[in-house]
Amino acid sequence: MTVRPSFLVVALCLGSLFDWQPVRSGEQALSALLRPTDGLVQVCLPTFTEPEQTRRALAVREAREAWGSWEIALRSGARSSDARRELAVVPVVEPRRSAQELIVRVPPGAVLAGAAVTSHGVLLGFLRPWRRDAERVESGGLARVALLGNPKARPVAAEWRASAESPAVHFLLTSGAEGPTIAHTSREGVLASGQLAYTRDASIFGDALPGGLLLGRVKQKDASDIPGGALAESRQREGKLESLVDAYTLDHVVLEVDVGVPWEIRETSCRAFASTSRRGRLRLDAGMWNGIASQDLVVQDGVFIGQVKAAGPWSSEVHRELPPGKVLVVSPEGEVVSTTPLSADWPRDWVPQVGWRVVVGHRVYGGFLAGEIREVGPRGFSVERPLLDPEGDLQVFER
Amino acid sequence: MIVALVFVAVFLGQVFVVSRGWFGSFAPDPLVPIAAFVALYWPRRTVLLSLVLLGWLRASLLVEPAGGQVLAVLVAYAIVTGLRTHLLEFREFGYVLGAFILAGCWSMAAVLTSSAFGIGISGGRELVLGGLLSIPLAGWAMNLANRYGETS
Repeated sequence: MTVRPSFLVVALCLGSLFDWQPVRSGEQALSALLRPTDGLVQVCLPTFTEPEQTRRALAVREAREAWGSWEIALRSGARSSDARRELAVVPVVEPRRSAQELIVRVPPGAVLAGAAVTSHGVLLGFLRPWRRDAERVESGGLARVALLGNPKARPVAAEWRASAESPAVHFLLTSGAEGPTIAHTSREGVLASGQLAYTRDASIFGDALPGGLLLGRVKQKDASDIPGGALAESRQREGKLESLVDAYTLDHVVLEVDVGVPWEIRETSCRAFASTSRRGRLRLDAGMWNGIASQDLVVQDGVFIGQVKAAGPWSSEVHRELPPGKVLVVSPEGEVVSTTPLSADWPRDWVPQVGWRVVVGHRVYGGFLAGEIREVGPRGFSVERPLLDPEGDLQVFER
Repeated sequence: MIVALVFVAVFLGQVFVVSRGWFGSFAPDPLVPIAAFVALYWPRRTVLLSLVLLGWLRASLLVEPAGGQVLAVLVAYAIVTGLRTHLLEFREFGYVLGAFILAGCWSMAAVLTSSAFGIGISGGRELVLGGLLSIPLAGWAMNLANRYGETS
């Protein structure tokens, strides 16, 4: 064994183990040797009987319905500004806490600068153009959302009421050093901590932002927040707003898009090598040359199969784990909760049960059955994945 | 020779996959006696390439990062090659012993790589059971080694 080739081999091995994509992609090439004998392997392998075919089809339908109802809940409270625009649920690609913004995936050319971004009727922020003078805000299918409190987010006309019968106190929500700040209140001295604030319908002034969107909870600034005793008067008027939603934990948000603008989705159809279809990972007979890329989702007849881990030229490796991020957990009563399998992320006083369905969603194709909860432990739950039909086609599309 | 090795390894690898489908982790890995043959009798010039191909093929069959299996088989080879002169003295028995040592080291290296990198690298029972396959193949291996291999 000469020294140099062995060093190269060890370096490539380490590249593979550290998941360096060029090496991981290249190593898929050898699977071409498995293709000629794959048909024979399929004949020799034990076949799966699927006695619960009907039950599975029902579960797939319920997964779709659960995703649909969750999307409706996500859109609640928001409404589109005119008939040419509609509300769409879009995925968050990257939360940027330091820049106080979110990067979201949007249909190309379908969104406008300044469009409101909401979740469950809570106003989160506004779309912000990548370039200062651009009207359209999308670039490469991505747009950025300036969250409330971000100096780049525009001011919002807002109001709060002490009770339903009380006259509204109007104010302007601006950005301050401590986040969303209350300014220009219509009545001095009436700022009360704990009240919920909503957007105010200011369409009469040409503002298209609908009224009634929840902004957060009013909080009067502490005396220690205001330097100098001479500012005692302004203390009565100034306040800040505490958001009820941590926008950085959201996987999906709602915003306005042009009606009928399609998403550009890269998708392909392929099959799994029979020799690899019995394991927690599987190998597809299609790769980069067929339009498959790393992180793509793999689905079969409404069942989520896995995610592409490495795509080679003519073959890809798929891992059958759930994708990172949140999934929907559906109880037998139809209650839908968006969470991760880790118990630290579960809502308070909510504990899932064995047998509850787990749904993975896609911005275009909706919900897919990802399995049922197999075990619930102190750290979280594990999911029993549905079986793969080795003879059936698989759909692969970008996330 | 390498081409022949790849064809045999692909065929036996697929047999391994089928036997795994029926017997699960009790299916012996037939790549172990091949790797033992390569480690003991293969021409030194191409032994590295041959072992890389064997590890890579096993990783392809098991859908794992190839680096893990290749590294594990190279570690096992490094240990077997240290004992090579002694193993060659025992002829068939040396081959069987070499196959078991290789299987054990391969398996151990796979476990260590798995825990070091947090990636599932298959080793364990299949490899050790694969060592058993070297017993009926020992005579054949000696004949092949005398004809094409390096036995000194």
